[in-house]
Amino acid sequence: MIKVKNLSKSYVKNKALDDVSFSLSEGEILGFLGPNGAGKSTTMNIITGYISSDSGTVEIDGIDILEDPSAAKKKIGYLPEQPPLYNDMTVQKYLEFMFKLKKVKLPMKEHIDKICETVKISSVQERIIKNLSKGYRQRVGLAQALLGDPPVLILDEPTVGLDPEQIIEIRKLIRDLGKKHTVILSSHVLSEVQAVCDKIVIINNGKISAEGMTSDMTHTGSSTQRLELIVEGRRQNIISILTKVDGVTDVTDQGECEKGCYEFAVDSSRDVRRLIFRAIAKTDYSILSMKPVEVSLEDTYLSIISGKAEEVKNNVSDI
Amino acid sequence: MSEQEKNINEEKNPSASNMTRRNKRRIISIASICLVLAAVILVNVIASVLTDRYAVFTTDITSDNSFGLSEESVKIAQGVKKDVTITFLTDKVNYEAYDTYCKQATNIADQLKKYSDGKISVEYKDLLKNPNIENEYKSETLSVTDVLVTCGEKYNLLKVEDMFNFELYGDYQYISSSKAESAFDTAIVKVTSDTETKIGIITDNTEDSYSTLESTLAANNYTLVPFSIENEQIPDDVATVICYAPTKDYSKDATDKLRKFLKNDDKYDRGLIFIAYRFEIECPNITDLLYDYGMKLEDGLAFETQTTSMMTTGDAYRNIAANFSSTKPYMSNYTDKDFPVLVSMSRAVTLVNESTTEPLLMFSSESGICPYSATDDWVWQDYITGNVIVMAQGAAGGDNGISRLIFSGSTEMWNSLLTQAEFTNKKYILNILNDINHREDTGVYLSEKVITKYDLSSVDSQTKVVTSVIIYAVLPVLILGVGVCVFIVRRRK
Amino acid sequence: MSAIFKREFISYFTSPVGYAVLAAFTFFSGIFMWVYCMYPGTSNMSGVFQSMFFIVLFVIPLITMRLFAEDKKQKTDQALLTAPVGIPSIVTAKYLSALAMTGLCLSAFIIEGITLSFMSHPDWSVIIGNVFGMALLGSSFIAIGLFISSLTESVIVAGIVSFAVNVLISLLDTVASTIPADFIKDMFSSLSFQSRYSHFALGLFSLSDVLYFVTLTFFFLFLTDRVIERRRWA
Repeated sequence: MIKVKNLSKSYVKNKALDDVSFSLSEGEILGFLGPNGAGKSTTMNIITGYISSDSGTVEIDGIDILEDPSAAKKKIGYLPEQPPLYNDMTVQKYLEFMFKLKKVKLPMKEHIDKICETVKISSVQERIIKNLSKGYRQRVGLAQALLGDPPVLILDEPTVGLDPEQIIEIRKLIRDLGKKHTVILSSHVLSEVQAVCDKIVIINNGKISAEGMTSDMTHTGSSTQRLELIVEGRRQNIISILTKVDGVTDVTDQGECEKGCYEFAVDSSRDVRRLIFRAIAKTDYSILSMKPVEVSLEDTYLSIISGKAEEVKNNVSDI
Repeated sequence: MSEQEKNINEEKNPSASNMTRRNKRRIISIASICLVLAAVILVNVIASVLTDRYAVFTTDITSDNSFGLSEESVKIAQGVKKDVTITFLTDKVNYEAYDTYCKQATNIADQLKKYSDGKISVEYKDLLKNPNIENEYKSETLSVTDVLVTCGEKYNLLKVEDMFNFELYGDYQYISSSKAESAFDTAIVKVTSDTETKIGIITDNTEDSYSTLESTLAANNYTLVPFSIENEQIPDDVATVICYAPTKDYSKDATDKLRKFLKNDDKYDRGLIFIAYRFEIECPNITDLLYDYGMKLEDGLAFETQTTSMMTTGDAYRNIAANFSSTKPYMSNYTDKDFPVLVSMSRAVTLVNESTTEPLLMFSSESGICPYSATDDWVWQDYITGNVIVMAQGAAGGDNGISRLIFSGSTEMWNSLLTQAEFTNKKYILNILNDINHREDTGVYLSEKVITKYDLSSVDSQTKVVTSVIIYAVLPVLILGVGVCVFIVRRRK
Repeated sequence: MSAIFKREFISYFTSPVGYAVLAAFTFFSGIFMWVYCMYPGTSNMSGVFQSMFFIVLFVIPLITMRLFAEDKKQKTDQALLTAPVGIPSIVTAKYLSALAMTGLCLSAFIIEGITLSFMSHPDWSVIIGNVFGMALLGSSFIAIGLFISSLTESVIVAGIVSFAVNVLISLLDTVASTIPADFIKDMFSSLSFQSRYSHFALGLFSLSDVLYFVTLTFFFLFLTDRVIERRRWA
């Protein structure tokens, strides 16, 4: 549905995007992660046609955005970081305007009312946007993105500024939307991405650092697996044995839990349970407990960002 | 190349394709701007040339066609066969700045140019920057507000009073209407005319200059042919002779020649204009000639006591406005009956033959003749005769035609006073000459154009004030009020 | 495109701008009516039209200053540029909305003409012609103002610069008269808005004058389109 190939964009001072590529199938929800200035908004702006890339292509449902921009833009609903609201209009008038701007062919009144219901802004439809709270403004922005039922939704930090209750609502909404739309979602909130998205792309300094299905990235988090061990024995020896195990990247001493027994957190690049078992078994120390710890996306993310891990490129099937 | 290879290619040279795509865009952008700019300039240049050259590209939407040319003017312009130049004696911007009517005048000149297919050209030569122009027209007093119409050697000088009508508003003189179109038309017709009428002028004992008369006549296609009546024959191609202020009497031979000239073998149809010298001379022959034509030359100078006829109060002899004595002759087409002719230091005649003579110009009922022999202590009241005749005409002739001997007592009337704007000396004299020489008045008379009609003067001032206040006070306040209301309503939304 | 036009036009009346401009226009034209028509007693509105040239100079920057600058500041240009509408359409729609606003102001002249017709017989063809001429003049100033608005994010800066440019343009005549070189002087006077407009004020319509304003409008709209395009590529 969405194919981004070799996008590059530089400004005078810096290279904002360097050969960015990824793709998304119909009905998938993509989470776009990265620190500030990584290039998320730039990428989204290019996909939606707000700015143009220096090189590379973007295809929406097979339509090249440079060759037929109108047709491509018709398929996208975009909620930018700052929702493009006209402060001097009422919500209703604004949505009617955006409706006409996007050349939507559906019955206007019903469609707008339905979307307002979905996004829960029906109560403020007649109010002037300037007078609305941040949460409502965000939702109006989301409403305009939904106008016309576009097959692709691109949402730049859609839950920012909302209260926890609203955030949960919006996440649910996005998940529902994901059933019928293709969504790209950018966020700082990793738990949100983890909860909502099927696929994750991590971008850093204009380059894609990681790309893969959410499930893959959290469970078999490429570079980090973590085991929590309780071993009875001599602390120093245990540490040196563990460190020597092939695949172990880090051993953290977490202190004494029972007399003579120490807790350790062992990070490794692959599954080292058996090796540890045998290594300890060679000594007369005992493993009292060994369990894998769910590596959160946060860990994966941070390690990627800090550059500790190798790049991972899962095989992503081209549609 | 397959997709993959293409991709790899792009990957290998990302920086190269970066530069080209953006630079290519930049070049196209700048090129397109330059192209459009060039096209815009080209279109404008073409349009301006076309508009300048052909009248069809300008429309005058005023309902009375203030800026357009009348049909006669168009015909005249189209009919011009010689090269004519209309020269404004100041810059276009300066000239147009005087008054809207001036703008109209330059516009008329431009239009005449457009219809003339290149024959008429319009120039703006600032007199201050080109002082040499004054040298070319020494007999005229040029000013920056004048317009010269020239064709070869011939010229017509149009002064502001020739082009516009003025009215007084308190102390301030303003242009009330324009006769510029007629003025241009007339001037063009005159300078391009091939007709040239010759008028003889006797130079014997003539001391006064007649240069202004000469140039005025030349501008109207009359050429003065000076000759000596004593020594020469009267030129054959001349139908009018002027005796210009002789300071001595003519010989009997000379006056006989003049009599014969007027009789013209019983064919008549000739004119003799005798302009008297202002001081006393012994002239029995001249007096006889005048007497033959029914006029008695009086001794002395005419004086006026009615102050309204005097240009300078207290000066009874100089610059007196003489009145037309009747509605004919020379009066039937005359449009300026209300504007008198200015006369200065004039002798007078009395009429002895009622049936063959007619007075032309007279002083008021409070005028008289001061004899040359009067001393300083003369009592002027005793000499008031009233209605002193300073210009008269005696006729002779029959069925074939009439010859006229016109006596004019004032030399200045025929020379220096020709250029006084408020008086109609020039027009009057030309009128007479045209009549005698059977020339059509080649002046073109079109209705005067008024741009600013003061048509609201009949509306009472209260209505005007109230209406104005509604427009500039009430309406804006209303509009702002609506704005405030809208603002308040939206605050609550 | 009509959506953008409607939106921009209505927004003139949801902010003080529309009312201020209309009120100012009415006020000044009313004053000039008094000075040039009512007081001297003529139905010839030439003086009014000539004087309003300067008012138009001031007023149009107020109309155009926010047209692009505000969108850039509020980020609403994102909505416009990500919508399936081409940049020329956007530029044209904004231009037309400013033109419509100006047209509304010009209707003040029509009202004044009607007022005059109750008192006498004004030359309607001249009035209509003048309104048309002023529309042409306004159109050019609008295009220039629109262009300047597209160059900046600040509405105030756009307004001030437009106003300064307009003043400069109207000074062309004065500047031209000081230049000794005839050729350059002619060029400047042919560029002069004021002298061309004064032809309209008198009732003279020439191909050259009309085309001048039309092509100028087109050129600056084209430049505006280029500026917006450029932003996408920079």
